[in-house]
Amino acid sequence: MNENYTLEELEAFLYGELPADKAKKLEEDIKTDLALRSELEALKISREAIDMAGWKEMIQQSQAEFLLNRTEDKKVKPLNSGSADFFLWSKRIAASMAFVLVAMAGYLLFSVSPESITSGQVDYRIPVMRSSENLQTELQEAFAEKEFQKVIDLGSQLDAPSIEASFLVGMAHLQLNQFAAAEEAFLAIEQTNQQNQSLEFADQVDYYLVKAYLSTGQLEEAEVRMRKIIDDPKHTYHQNFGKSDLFKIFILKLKN
Amino acid sequence: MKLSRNLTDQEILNQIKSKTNPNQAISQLYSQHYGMLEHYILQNSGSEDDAADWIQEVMLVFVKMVREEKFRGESSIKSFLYSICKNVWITELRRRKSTLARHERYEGEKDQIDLGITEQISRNENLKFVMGLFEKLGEKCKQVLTLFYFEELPMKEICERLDFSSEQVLRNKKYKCLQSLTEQVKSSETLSQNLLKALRHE
Repeated sequence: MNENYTLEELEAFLYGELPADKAKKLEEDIKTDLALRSELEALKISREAIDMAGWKEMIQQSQAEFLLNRTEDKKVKPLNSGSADFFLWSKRIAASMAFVLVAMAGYLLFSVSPESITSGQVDYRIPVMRSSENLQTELQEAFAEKEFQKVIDLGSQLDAPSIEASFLVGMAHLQLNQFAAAEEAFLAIEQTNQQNQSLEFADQVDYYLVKAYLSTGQLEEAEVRMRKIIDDPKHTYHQNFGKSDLFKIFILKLKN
Repeated sequence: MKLSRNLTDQEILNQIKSKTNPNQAISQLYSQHYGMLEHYILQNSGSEDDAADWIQEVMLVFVKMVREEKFRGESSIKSFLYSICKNVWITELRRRKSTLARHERYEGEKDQIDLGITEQISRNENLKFVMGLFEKLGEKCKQVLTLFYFEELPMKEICERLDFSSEQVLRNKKYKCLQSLTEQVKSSETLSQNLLKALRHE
């Protein structure tokens, strides 16, 4: 502590309030007295610190008030929470996909019916070549004319109907929504084929049995026939069914 | 606090410099610029707590530079605050010696550091040390010195507020408090060395 100047005098010097003659002498002393210079600097920074402590308190109060009144939506999201954002977005996307899947499942659950699976089924058309037998020709003509009841009647008059005639009778039943009779006719053809070790109309039987089974609620049987068609690339109707049809049968099972 | 009208940049500077309703000026700085400053810190490896801590430092540096007329509105307050924030935060990241602080992004920004601001930040380090000493003074001392030097109240008013028996008693108290602080400053070796360094530069 210097002996020549009081703290008030040093303060007055720092802020230009010391009388000129005393200020001039102090300036001269500073040049040679390092302790005096050090004391002046300590006083200066102390005064600054007191002032800044006041500002600091005001700033702290303003910040506390600002943060208190700040609405959540105005907050900035930290970048280093990117991974959290990633997971958040992943969850959102997963939730959206789950919602879409649930919505699709719901839609399928209400919209899928046996008819929706077989509605696009191709109609059977009789080949141009005709049999020489009159009755059979008449049966074919009746089928071509869509006189399905007549087809059934003519078929019943045949003692030993051909596979083709039996198939047309089965198809006539199918057209008249007589599904159980159609199933019976088709299965009879299969049996005959097994006995004769032939495969006449075998693919057609598979294909139209699917409709017969679906219509009578025999979903397992329909699925077996459908898988047989899908799994065999050489099957005549291989292109007519796909995985989506199997999925529809799955939905039908859920509904039941 | 809801402001009835936004102050212009120049009005903010004037109010801080003259300590005329400085609360209003500081509040407006927060409402207008806190989001931007926080965004910078958050986007550069900082947390919300970092932002809250260091934006106070930014404001303190800003006030100091305005008070010392090192910033007179040559640029907008917004861009000046942004520069201070960038300098303060990069300095802090380097201090932490975090790997992020050595990230290319900051390396690339080295040249953009404003030397004037950096110098002020460095000076504020010394100032913060003395502010710490001030905080450790007795409560009465802090009140006297704050009311006299920061709020610039006349002795008579301080005397009444703090229930001093006379102005002379208050004057003596103020003298002792200030002396106590300066003695502590001088007795701090590190700080003394820094101050002497500063003196030699002068």
